[in-house]
Amino acid sequence: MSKSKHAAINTKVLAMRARRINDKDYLELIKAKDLKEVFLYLRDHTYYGDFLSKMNPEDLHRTEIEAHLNDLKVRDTEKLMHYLLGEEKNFLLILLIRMEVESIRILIRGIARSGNLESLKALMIFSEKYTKIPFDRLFRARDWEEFKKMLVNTDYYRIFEIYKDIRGPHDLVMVEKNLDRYYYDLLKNRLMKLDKKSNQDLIDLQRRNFDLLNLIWIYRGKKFYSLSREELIAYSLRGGLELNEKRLLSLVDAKNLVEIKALLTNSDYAFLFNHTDTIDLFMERRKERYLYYQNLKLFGDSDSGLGRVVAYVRLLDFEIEDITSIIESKRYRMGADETKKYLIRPID
Amino acid sequence: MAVENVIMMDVVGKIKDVDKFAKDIFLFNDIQIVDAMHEIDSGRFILPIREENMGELLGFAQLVSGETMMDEKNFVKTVNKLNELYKGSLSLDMVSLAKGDTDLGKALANAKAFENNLVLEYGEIKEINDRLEALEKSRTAYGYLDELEANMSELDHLENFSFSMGSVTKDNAARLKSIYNSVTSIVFHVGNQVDNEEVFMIVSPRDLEIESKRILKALNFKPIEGFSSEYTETPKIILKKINQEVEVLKERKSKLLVDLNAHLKENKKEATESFNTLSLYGNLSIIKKYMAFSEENFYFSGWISRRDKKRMEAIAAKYPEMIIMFSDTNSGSGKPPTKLKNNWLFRPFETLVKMYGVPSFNELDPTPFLSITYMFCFGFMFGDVGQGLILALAGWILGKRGVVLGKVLLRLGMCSTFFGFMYGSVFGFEEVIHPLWLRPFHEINTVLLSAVLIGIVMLFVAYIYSIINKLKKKDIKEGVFGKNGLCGFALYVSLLGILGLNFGIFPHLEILVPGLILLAVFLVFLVLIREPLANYLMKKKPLYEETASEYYVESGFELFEMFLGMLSNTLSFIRIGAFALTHVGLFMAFQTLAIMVQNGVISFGILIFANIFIIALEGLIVGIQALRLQFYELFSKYYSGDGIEFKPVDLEINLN
Repeated sequence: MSKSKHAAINTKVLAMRARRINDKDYLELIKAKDLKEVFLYLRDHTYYGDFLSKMNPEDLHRTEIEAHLNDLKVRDTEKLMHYLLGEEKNFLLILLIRMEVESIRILIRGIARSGNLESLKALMIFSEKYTKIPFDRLFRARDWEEFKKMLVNTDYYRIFEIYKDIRGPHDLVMVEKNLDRYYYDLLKNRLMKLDKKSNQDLIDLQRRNFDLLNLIWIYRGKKFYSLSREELIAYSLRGGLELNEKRLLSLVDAKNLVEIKALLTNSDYAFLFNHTDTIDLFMERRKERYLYYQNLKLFGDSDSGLGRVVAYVRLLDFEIEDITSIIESKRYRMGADETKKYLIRPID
Repeated sequence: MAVENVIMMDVVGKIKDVDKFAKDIFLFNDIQIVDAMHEIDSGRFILPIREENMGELLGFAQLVSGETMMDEKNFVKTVNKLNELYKGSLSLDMVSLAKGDTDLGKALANAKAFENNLVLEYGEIKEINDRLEALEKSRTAYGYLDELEANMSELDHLENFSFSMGSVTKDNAARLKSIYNSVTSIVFHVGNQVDNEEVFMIVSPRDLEIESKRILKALNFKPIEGFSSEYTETPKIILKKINQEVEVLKERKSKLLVDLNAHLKENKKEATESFNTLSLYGNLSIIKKYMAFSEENFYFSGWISRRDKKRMEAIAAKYPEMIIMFSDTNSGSGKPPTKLKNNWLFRPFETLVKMYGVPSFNELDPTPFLSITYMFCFGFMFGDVGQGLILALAGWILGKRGVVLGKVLLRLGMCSTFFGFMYGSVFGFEEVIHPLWLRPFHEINTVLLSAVLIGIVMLFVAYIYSIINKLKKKDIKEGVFGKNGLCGFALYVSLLGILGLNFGIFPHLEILVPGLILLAVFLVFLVLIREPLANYLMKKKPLYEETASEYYVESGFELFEMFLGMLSNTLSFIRIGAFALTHVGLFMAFQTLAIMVQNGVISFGILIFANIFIIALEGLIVGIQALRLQFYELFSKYYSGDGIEFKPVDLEINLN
């Protein structure tokens, strides 16, 4: 029953995925001399072309290209939502909310710098159709108080309400963490409303994602922010697969990296810390690559529920992140082999 | 035709005239305002560079959007207050506004005086309401502690501890619970809030207060409002006190309301006047939001219909220093909105057209064609004098109540009645009157064949519409050589000709067949190579937008689709005849049932039911089928519907 229920959307997703960027394209992009060549290749040879065609190749901004790449994700997600109803549609909406959250993050940082928000307009990624945020007006906010007021009718108000100011560096980090926590709690709650049987693989993978995010948070919170254990717990995510509340607490209580490693010996996530001197540098990439393989598997195996659909969007995420890394590598004039090290998708 | 020409109007005037001008615009009403700042930013607001325009041109450099300056809130506040007092019984009177003198100062003074008259009662009611609101908050706040036996003053004045109450989301509550044991304070879960948040009471040692606050902040802990140092007793007593105060206040309020109402009745006329003027000014502020301002001038842009140009110029002439400019839709002033203009007969059908899409400004309005054919098809399929009149009556009643589709129904009902006379059918009975044309069931083939013929005629018209629309957009490729263009039309006609000749409809013309076949083949070839051909004729390079091979594969399939489309579109119209037959057949079935029961009362009941059933169900089906023919068979040929609708200023402050 549930298989036939999702037959149409699964076929659609397969067709959409067929247009993805392949290894050959990756190599071309890595080979490109500079930002402009990357741009032209993306515009003329990939499905991002539609979204880049309006940009002027003589006046390119790195971050604007990235925003336009994400427009594809917005469009595809919106398209896929047509096939769904009720809780499932609601769940897919979460993927759009992710982008909305990122856009708000950019604006908040702008406010923290007391910058002009209008100049950030081009970086906003959100679904015009589904967003409840009055972005048009938000750009005109002159300070934090005004910004908050404009969000009064959205969930975000509750998050920001208690912050009187965000110009202190600590405040900004915490507001951002709060925003992330809001998003992942929402994700978790909507995930739990999906049909368990047909979405088991999807649910497990999302919960693994929570595990990884928690691990990285606890590791970094200890190392860089020296936060108290209570604060570490306060910002950690719920609903992990392997790391339940008890294990989270013991990780928070771990005194050093050796103890953390010991706690993870038998878990799937030992790979994050099993390195000598590149833990911090590649931590994010290692996590993403792990998730990349898991999502590939989800895309291939999942034939009931929403697994394949969500995997499609996630894989698109990774692709966009990789293109972003390639674009950045041009700025630092990295060689091809060096660039490949930073990519989520392994390329040879 | 029925799409009215709209033009962009740009106005620059002196700031001292801005209020009067805005009022003129408001009363004029038939204008779609555009954000002037946006027009100027995108370089479409162009002033001719001349000596006398220097001031206005220089003004561009120091422009500010009206949005940042205008504040309609004050007006809206007063208007809302008046509206609230009179419970919405005041309404904006455009006529008196148009001739009346609307001095804002005077109106504000009037409103002020009016307010002062009411201030005693109204002010006190307001105070009471505020107080009640505060009390409600306190009641909820202290309600969380209702089992506490200690005095609040003791809690407030603890030497070594401080306490706070607040709420966190469900998910954060779970996080808080997992650190209960290590947190530096005592945490009590005291209840749940209406918005699904959980409420906690936190008691922490003063020395560790900062530490606790940090953790609570991390959990997005939001303090609860409503605690006040004026309450010193135990929560139970406090709650009792609050409830008593609420009772007293409510009583006082109802007494005040009685007085207030008496006052209001006395002063209704003055209030209406103030309401009018202030609503006007509120609306003017909204108009001004769309304007841009420099130190001396204001800039205004909007779409108006071309025929209103003279009237607008007359308005502008009243202001000596005003510059007014009009620009054509063709000169790149953005995409103009579409203003539809149809007579009373066709106007309700605009709703159906808009369901599909608003016509683009350079497209023919399909409404007249849709109206005529939709009414015709509906009547043809659902021809009955009695049932038609009932539909018309229902439509008339709905229309009166403001349902637009009711007006459509009225027209459909009338057509149904007309065809009822043609078929000689009254409430399904064919014995009552003589048919003016035929009885569908007696001449089935005629009905079906005429349905197809009607369809062919409708398709002809659709082709012509399509050709005109495409040529208007200068689309040679589709307009001349496309499958819905001139070539497609000629091909369709020649195929019909071949068919007709082969069936011997025109026996003496059969010699034409080979010629027609040759023509058809030639036309097919033209359609196949339409893109390179059109590009060649227009001297555009490259000839193909994609690779030639891709183009021909695609184009080949399109040919196939074209033939299939011609056949299926034509045959699709058989349904008009088929439903005309179903209509009769369905009633015959009920009639047979009615005869079979051999009981006067029951058969009568069956016939009544049959009529209701047919009117409701078949009426619906036929309505949908006729619309389907329009949208699918016809619109897909000639109509794109990607225009923007013209929305006149219809401001009226949004009350509430």
